[in-house]
Amino acid sequence: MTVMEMRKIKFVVIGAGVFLSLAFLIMVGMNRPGGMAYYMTVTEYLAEGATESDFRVNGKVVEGSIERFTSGQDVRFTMTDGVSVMTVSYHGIIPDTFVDRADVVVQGSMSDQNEFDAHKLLAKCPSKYEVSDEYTTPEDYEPEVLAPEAVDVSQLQP
Amino acid sequence: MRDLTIYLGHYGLAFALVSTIWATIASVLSASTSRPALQRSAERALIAAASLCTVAAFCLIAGYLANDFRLDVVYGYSNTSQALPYKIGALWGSQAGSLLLWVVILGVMGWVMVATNRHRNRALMPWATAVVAVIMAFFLYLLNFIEPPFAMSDAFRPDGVGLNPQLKNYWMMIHPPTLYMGYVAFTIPFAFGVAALITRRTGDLWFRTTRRWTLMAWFFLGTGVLLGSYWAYIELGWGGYWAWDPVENASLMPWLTGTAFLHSVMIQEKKGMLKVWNVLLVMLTFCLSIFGTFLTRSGIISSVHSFTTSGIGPAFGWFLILLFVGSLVLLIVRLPDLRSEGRLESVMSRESTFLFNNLVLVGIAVTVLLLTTFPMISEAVTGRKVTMGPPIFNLVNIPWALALLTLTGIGPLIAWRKTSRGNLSRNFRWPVIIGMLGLAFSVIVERAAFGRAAREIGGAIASADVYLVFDELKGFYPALTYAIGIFVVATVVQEYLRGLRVRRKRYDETPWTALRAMIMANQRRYGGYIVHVGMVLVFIGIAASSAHQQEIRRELEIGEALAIEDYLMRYDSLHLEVVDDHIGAVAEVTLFDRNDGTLIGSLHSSQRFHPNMQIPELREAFLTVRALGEAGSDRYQEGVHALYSLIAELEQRVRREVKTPSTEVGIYRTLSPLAGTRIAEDFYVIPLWVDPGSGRASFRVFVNPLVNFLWLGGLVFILGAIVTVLPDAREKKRLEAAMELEDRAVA
Repeated sequence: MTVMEMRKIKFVVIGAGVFLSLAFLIMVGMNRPGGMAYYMTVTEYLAEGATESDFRVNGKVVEGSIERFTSGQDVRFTMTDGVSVMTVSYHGIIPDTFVDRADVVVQGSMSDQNEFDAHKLLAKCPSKYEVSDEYTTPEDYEPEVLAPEAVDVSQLQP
Repeated sequence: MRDLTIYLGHYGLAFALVSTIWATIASVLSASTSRPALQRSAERALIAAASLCTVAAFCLIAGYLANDFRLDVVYGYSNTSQALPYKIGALWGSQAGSLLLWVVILGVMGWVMVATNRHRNRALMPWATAVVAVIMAFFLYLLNFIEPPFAMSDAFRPDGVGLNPQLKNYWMMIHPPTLYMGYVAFTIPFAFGVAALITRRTGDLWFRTTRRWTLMAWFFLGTGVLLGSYWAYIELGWGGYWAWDPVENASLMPWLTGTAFLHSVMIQEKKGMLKVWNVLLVMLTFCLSIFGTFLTRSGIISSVHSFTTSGIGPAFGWFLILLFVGSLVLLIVRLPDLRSEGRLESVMSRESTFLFNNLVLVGIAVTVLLLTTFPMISEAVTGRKVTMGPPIFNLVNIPWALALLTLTGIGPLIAWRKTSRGNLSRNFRWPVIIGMLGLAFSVIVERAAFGRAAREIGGAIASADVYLVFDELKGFYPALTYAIGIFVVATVVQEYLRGLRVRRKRYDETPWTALRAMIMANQRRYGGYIVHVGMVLVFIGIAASSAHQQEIRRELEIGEALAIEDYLMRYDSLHLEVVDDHIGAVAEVTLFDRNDGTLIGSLHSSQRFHPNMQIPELREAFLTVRALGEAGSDRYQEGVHALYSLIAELEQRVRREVKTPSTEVGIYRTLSPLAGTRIAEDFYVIPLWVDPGSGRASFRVFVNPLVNFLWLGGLVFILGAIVTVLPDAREKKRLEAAMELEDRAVA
């Protein structure tokens, strides 16, 4: 083996090392709590019928359903994925981005009162740089069909 | 008059599209038929398009200033009570407006490119012009057919909806344009890179001639990233500045590959190596810039489905694919022209450290790309939404970022080609000694976390639990960061001192003149070192503030106090106000030193409600109370209370929220170097909710140690980058030499 080939091998080994270790770190990170997590839709969650464990459910806040309590840290609202709806109660910090029709992720479990008891609430606009078009484009401004009185919540829950 | 500006803008964009199409055709024809007159025509068309776009942007701004709510974008992003700067800033709040800003910046840069290359690079210019024109044409196509900024409606619109309150922030006015400048400026090096490949002039010329464009793009992008995180820190109120949000990642990725490019071109300059890699990097950086714009503007982040219905999404996606595949094909076709003139001789050489730095930078960029796009891929393929939390980004990137920081110190000390043993010990002796002392100092400072990690890592490794090992490793990171940082600063100081000593032996100068002359004689090198120091400060700020952030939440009555770390915070008062476009409840607090009770200072934070101006009843009440306040009426406070009640009552009645809340963070910065352990620390307060009646409020408080090192490092980065981008006589000579060489080679 010539000196040149030896050198080449050294470089290839170091380069491969960099990328393999990155791949390894990604693998570790993905399986780690707080790393990658699945969201369920409201329909999926209700179909699961799970009551005991911790789930993340993704959906939109039904317009007009937000009930804020005077404590300032308690809120009840209805969320939907466009097919099913469920009532969520939450205690904790309410982010500024939590408004009618916001995209929300709640984490928690079903309580006995057929309410989703959330201990985590994430709300976001599609981009930090822009309010969701749904709030701002004029055509969309009028309330949607999904007003709370239009849907009988009790019937949809398992 | 109002209609005139709208028509001018609207048709201006249509003519601009036609101009860019002509510029493309004419420049390609001129290249293939070698008729210079056609190229002149193409350049004039490009300038015409740039002017038309600029005029259109001013017409749109005029619409904002005139509160012309017939325009959809004015209606959606502005209203009569919006302060003047935010009326202008609303331009880039909307989709159409930000695309317009993009194309205006590109147009102006294209203009500068034409003006500065009037008498040079005549062989490369046709293709460079064509590339810029094609990209402008794409954006103008979007603006003309998919997202027209001058779209109007006859609906009755007494007032506008207004800009998202979180965007009404001073920094938000300069952050997006800065970022866009960065994204857009990478077009010019990309255009010249493509031109070099097509014309097979693959020497140094294409990147030497765009050297300052690259530096400028990199500078604006880096500054944009910093401004974005600063805005997040002072506006979003979660106590941090970086959340690995897709929008943030989008701006970081091209900056990383751009940084890699800045380093690797030096190897091509010195040794004629890495030609393929450099072209690839400039292509990758440009595609990531377009991808960044795509991520922020296509709606793909919220959902793959909203992306396909967003109109510009699919068009953008296809354009991106076309750019990337087209560039790659061109590169592959031209591979034979990019043969290396040298070879790597030793692992211990400057070129090798640059190569490793490139591998790590690109590796981090690819990782971030993978993790950012994974949720989108997952949703598209399996229909399931996933999230990638910050822990995974941190886990992967922190070890590599530390390796990168180490290379920052090693690189400048290693000689080109091959380093001898003597050279190594001479160059590394002092920095390593100082770095080791720094390590000892850092371990003492971080003894609690470091000690625990040191005790427990053995057990974690023995248990073969990979997660546990990584959790324990976290305890080492802050001390390692400080120590490596101290080593890097030591290398920079040594380099400066050596340069000065050499100069002062040769010339009789005062230290100050010598320093200035030395920097100006080799701006890239010494400016680059300043950037290295800036990055060290950024790293230290990030390491300390994320490892030692303290948080507390408390409900307080007026007069009560809370204690956190060395602080005592007394809640003094709450006052209500109606200003600009919001109702505010401003909480005043005073800070004391917990140990000796001395006064530190006072600060205020507030909770704001932005009422929905679309509801006439609310709008009228709001304007009335605001007028009371401006008139200094004694019924003002009463009015504000009434406004709060009206909002509550309205929400009951219309069964939806009639306000958008926003929170103003209060920050007390300790910047004095004499502040002892509080040095560079922030005391950060957010009111979570307030009861305007009783004054009772709930606060979330953070103490962020050393966080100001991050912003200070940002300023140092800006300083260093400016030094490198200033006109450089030496680089000018090199460029001229490269041009002469090129001309001779062609002749």
